[in-house]
Amino acid sequence: MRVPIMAIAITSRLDPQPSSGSSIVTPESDADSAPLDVAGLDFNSYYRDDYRRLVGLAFVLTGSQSLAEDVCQDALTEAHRRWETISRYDDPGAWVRRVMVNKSRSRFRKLTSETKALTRLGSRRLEPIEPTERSVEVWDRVRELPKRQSQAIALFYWEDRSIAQIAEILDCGEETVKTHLKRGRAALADTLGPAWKKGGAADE
Amino acid sequence: MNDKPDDLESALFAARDDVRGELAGVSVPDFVPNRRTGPVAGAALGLILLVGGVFALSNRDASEFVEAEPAGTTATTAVATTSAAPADSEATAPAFEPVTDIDVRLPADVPPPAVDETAIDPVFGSTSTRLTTAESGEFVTPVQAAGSAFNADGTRLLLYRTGGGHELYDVESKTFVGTVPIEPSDIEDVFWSPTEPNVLFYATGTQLFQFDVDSRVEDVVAEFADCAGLAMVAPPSWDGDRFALRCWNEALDAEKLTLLAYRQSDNSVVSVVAGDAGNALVSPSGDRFAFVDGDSGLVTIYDSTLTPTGITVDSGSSAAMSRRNGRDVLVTTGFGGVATGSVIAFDLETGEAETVIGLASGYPFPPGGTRLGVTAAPFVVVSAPEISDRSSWDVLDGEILLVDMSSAEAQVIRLAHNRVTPADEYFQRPFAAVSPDGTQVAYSSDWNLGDRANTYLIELAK
Repeated sequence: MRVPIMAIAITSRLDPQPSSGSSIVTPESDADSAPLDVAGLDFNSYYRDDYRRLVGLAFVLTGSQSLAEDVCQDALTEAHRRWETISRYDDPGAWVRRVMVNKSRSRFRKLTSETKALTRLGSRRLEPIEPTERSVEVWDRVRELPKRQSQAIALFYWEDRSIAQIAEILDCGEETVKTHLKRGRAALADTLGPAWKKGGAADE
Repeated sequence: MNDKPDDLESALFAARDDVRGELAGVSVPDFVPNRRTGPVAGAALGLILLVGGVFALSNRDASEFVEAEPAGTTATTAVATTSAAPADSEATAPAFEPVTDIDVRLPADVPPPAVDETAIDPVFGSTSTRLTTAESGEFVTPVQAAGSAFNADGTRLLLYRTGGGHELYDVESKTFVGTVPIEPSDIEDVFWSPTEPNVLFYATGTQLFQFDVDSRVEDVVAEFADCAGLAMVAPPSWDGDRFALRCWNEALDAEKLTLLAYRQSDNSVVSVVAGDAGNALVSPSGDRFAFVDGDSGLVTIYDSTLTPTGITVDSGSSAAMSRRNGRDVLVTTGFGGVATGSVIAFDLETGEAETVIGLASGYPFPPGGTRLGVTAAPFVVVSAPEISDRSSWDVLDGEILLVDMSSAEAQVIRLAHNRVTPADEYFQRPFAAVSPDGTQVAYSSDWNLGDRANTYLIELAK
């Protein structure tokens, strides 16, 4: 048995609800750590204030300027889409860094980043980052560590983040962060030690 | 005293200051957000790209379960005839080579990865990344009874956390986006639009709703004033226009369910009294509707005007819609009758059954708890929990398989062991879901720990 068309109501619209479930909460930070206070900023202001630090972190994690700009661009695009929500977090920059840390791990990304970065640069003049050979060596050794160790080292030394903040960004326990840092430092001391002694401060 | 740490600290801070100095002179470009990528077309492309894919390997840190000491790698190679991934977590993962044989493969012991960490399946070579953090007693699973937890372009994943609610995850960054404040008639009855990557559909009360996960706005798509208990239990047609709904319409029949065929483009609806209990589905093309009788499992096929076509199918268990070699099919798991197997495809025009995975194609009897996941593309993902008795272990037990239904000969790939311990708990199931381009599979697992389940993501080459 079939029946005629039934009544169809007009559409209605509910008020947008503020987001819930914010997962980034800034713990008490160490006196020397200085994450950017961006909560409540408009996106463009946040972007301009944090861009260089983000690119620097990505550069440290990836070793490639084009790849660094690529992961930054993706992470910032994600942040831009969700800025209404993220700007209400205690530490929006931590959310962006979590996204960027995850994106920087993709091996497949390395295959495409060069092309995408060049396309994105377009008419913008490339401003290369050219650290010293010693700095390059140091960050190369950091990147050779297991991923979580290198990320913890980068966040601690590049970002001046506290243990608690690093734990939030990497979504792990603080004891785990301490373990990553301890093991990372030990491994770096082994790999950098002989070279350091050969041409570093010990000889100066 | 060993002064290496001090020297090392100095080296690290000096390297930091050097890069900061370089960056100080870099101008900040104007921000231009990336454009979203559209839905990936071409079912065959996904399968072709599976072969020869390269996977990143990261250290396995089980610190979520062992707080102080991140676990080392203890994977062992199971009995298998194809190459397996090396156990050394620092080594580079070999290229993924799909396993397509029908040999019995027991699972290997693999430490559970921490969130955001990956684990390689030594038997099948796939890599699973853990997406979620579940507390003891919590189960975080892909949600979908008869559709896919992935959105139209594979960038978002909809999960359900017991005791919590629906959660949205960004697939590429593998991050939690936020909760989804919706109240569908059933927690599993939420479906992504096959065309709009940010839209969810669900029904409740007398209304069909859509929810935009970006704007977080809920809209009423249509209201069926004479319906009580309106339910949407299957995804819409692949063009997003036709919906199969069911409700109680006392004006028509107080005892039986009414099947509704709703077309969004012209806001039209046709209805027919269908049965005592059951589910309503619409085919990918929108040309066929089906009512799965909840008691008998018998499926009645209707055309788009809800005129019975004369085709009935003995579904055996939960059914879903897909396409097989370009034709609309009902896919189901058959435990006897016309065909027996984990994936049986019934042609909706002819009613003919094809055994895609089953006795007729060399596979064993379908395991208990077998579930099928479909998407708005001719891919089907098959999963079944483990069995307790390893001596009885057979192909399909505790596995996740991906089926490409697009070609004349269906391609079946055995992806991974899901490490789901058999249990009475409903949410302790794999709940595998596949993305529309067939390159990503999400599944839930307790990783044989029994007290919780997290969602994991297998990424195949894109």
